[in-house]
Amino acid sequence: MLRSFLLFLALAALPFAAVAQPTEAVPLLDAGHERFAAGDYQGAVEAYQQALATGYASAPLYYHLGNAYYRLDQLGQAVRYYERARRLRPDAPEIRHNLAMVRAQMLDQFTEAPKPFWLRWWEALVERVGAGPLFVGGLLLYLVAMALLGYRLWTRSRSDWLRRGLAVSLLVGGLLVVMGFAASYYDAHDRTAVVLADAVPLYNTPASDAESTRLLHQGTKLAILQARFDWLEVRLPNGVTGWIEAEAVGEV
Amino acid sequence: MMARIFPLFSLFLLTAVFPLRAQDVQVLGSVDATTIGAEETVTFSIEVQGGSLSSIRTPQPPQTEGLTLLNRIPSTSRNVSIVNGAVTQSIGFRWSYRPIQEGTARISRAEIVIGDRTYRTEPIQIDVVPQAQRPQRQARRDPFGNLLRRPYDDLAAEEKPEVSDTDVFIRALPSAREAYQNEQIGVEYRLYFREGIQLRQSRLADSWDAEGFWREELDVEPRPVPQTVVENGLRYNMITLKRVAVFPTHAGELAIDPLRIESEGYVPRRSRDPFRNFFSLRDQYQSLELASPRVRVDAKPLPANAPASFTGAVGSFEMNTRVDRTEVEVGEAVQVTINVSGTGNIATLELPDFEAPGIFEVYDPEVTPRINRTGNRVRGTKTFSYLLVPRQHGTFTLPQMRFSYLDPRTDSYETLTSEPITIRVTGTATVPETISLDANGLPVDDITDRALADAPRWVATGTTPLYQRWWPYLALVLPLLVVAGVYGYQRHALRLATDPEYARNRKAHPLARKHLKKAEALLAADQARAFYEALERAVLGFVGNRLNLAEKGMTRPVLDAKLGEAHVPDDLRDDLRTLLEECDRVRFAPVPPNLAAMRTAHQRAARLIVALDEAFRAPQPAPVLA
Repeated sequence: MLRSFLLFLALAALPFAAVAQPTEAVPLLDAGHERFAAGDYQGAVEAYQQALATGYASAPLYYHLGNAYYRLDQLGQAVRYYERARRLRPDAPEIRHNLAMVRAQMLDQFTEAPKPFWLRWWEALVERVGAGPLFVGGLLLYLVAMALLGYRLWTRSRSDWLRRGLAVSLLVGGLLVVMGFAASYYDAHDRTAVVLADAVPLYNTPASDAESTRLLHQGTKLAILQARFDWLEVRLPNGVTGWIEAEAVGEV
Repeated sequence: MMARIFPLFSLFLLTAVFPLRAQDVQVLGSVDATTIGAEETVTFSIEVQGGSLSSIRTPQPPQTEGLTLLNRIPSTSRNVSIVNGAVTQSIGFRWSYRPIQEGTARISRAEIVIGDRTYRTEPIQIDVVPQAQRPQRQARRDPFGNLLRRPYDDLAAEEKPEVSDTDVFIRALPSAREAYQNEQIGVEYRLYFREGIQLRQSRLADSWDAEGFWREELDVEPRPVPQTVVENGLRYNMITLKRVAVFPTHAGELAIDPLRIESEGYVPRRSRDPFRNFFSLRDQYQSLELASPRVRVDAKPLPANAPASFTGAVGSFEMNTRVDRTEVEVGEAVQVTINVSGTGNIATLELPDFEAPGIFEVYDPEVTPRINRTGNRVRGTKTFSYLLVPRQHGTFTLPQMRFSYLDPRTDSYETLTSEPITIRVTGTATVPETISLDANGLPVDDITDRALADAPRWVATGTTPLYQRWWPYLALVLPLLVVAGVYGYQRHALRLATDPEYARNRKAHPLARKHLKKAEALLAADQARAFYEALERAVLGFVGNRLNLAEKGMTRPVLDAKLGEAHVPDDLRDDLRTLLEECDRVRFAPVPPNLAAMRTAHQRAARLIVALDEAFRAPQPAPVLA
């Protein structure tokens, strides 16, 4: 019994034990910093992109890449990478500051519909904890619950404490597991994009001869609802939906 | 002679209205009309302006062809006017001639000696036409005609004098009829009017335009003083109305609108009554509409092979370049001033792009045109002032500025090249300090590139989301299975301990159990023979297996003996024999047994198998096994 439990723990921890080892990305990041300091922003962008191409990313990498794009006046790309950095480090004041600076220069300014409080709490929780730790925490509690249940069956104990402990750990653990799954699902399906072209029309239907409702400018953040061939159905921060050509935007 | 005085008197009045300038000596020879009737007279006059009149000797009348002199001694008139303190004196000598015949008459040059210089007038040609065809004269000069008229019919008989095209006209004088595109053409508009005509309330009739031209107005005197000129032997007052420089903007046939003015002209009317002539001026003004001829210009396209530094300037130019200092520190501004001056279209003049080395930040130049509009040509200077801010130290040479223009006199492009300028930049670039920081130490007006607070956590990109992986599900299901296993085992152990039938059943031989199960199914189907057959096979099979004997061909006594050898108790052996006998009996019996008997048989078989199994497991004496 104990052996199988330990085996479970080892299995559960396996994906987290393997911490990424970005031996190739780090020198490229440093090279990017050097070029940025020398004013070679294009070179810095190239170095940072090479670092990204190694398959590893970090909040500083995205953040400095955004800075280099900002200096190159590519505000759309800057927003795109700042947003990515913010996903990894939602609390960093530097990232928030730069994102606000770019936002202030946007041509499209939206008044965002306020989100309900539970959604904000939920997003804050997911941002701070992340889907993986939520799930692992829930899994550990679930294992505890299973262990208690096993103990209870084994010993045929009728202890109240055992029963309460079992109920609480099962409930909380199950909730956390569900939240972990939900967060990962939400993360995978809540795709956002940033307009990279200077100006691109928003259409009613996915066809370039369709009626265009408005023009979107570089840096505008969009929620992707669905993709169809070269078109994306997107939702603007103010709730308006429409179709946009996929090549004009970059996914966050 | 009295009649002669009156025209002179009115002339005196006119010159008082338009005073003449009194600088140099001017000698003008003129006639009062160039076309006369055969019975009319023509007056030739020499007028001397300026100079000291006392040194003038009375001239001899000029030689003529086809004319006879009427008075050998000229009538003279003197005129003194004072304008703005300047005294102008003039003296006139007049001779009258009568034509000899119709045709062309000629007055040769007259000579007049003033001081020690001799002046000559221009020869004048006069057309003598039949008396009926004579043009209407400006003034009736026949002194005797007045005497012959009746005193009171002159009002009706008086001819109304008309102002003719030769009396007042505008002349347009372009400096050229053919020009390159963007080449300067000066156009001067001059108003000519015969002496004795007064104009008032002159104004432009409609707006003057020159389509297809860039126009630059040139200065004219706001209060013009008429100049006395002789055109075709007639004396005119001349005023310059307008001077303009035009530049064709494209090649082709272009036209400049005529200059139109509306005016009122006063024609001196020679009445017989000098007093009425003098006092009744009011109805003698007549409205006039004057127009200059249209000026046509043939604009030629620019010649090919224009150099790269040609930006369209046509004319003649000079260029000089100035730099305010040649040694600066990084970040300080150097001012490079390029002056282009000359004759041509200054307003549209452009310089080629200023290409400074890349380390210089070049600001858009400050351009100051200065256009000189006096005279007949547009001249001027255009100043281009560039601000250069170096961003690195070192010694740099600014490239030579080239400026090309088309010189229409030589029909060739000329290129001006500036002197190269060397600028030494010292010092190092200073990084502009961040203007202000907010509470978090972040710049207020700019992004920050400050490193993030703690060590970077690297994550692999492109990972599969949690819900799409297999291990979470496994991690959830596996413990559940384990617990279920624990539960099942626990339950099994409990029943083994508490439920003997369960325990016995659990312990029965699997094969026998299978046959018993089959028998049970047959029992349910009420197939008695097959049931007993299955029952027999279950029991025999079990025993045969345990004793390691083949079931077939084994007689009942042999079986019993073998069981005895295996130390199976006698009661069990009896039970077995009874059951087998029952099975045999039923198989050959004509009537099948009832269901209750079958059920009892089945229970007996099951119990027997368990009991036999226990008997086989019981410890046995060694010699038997051996």
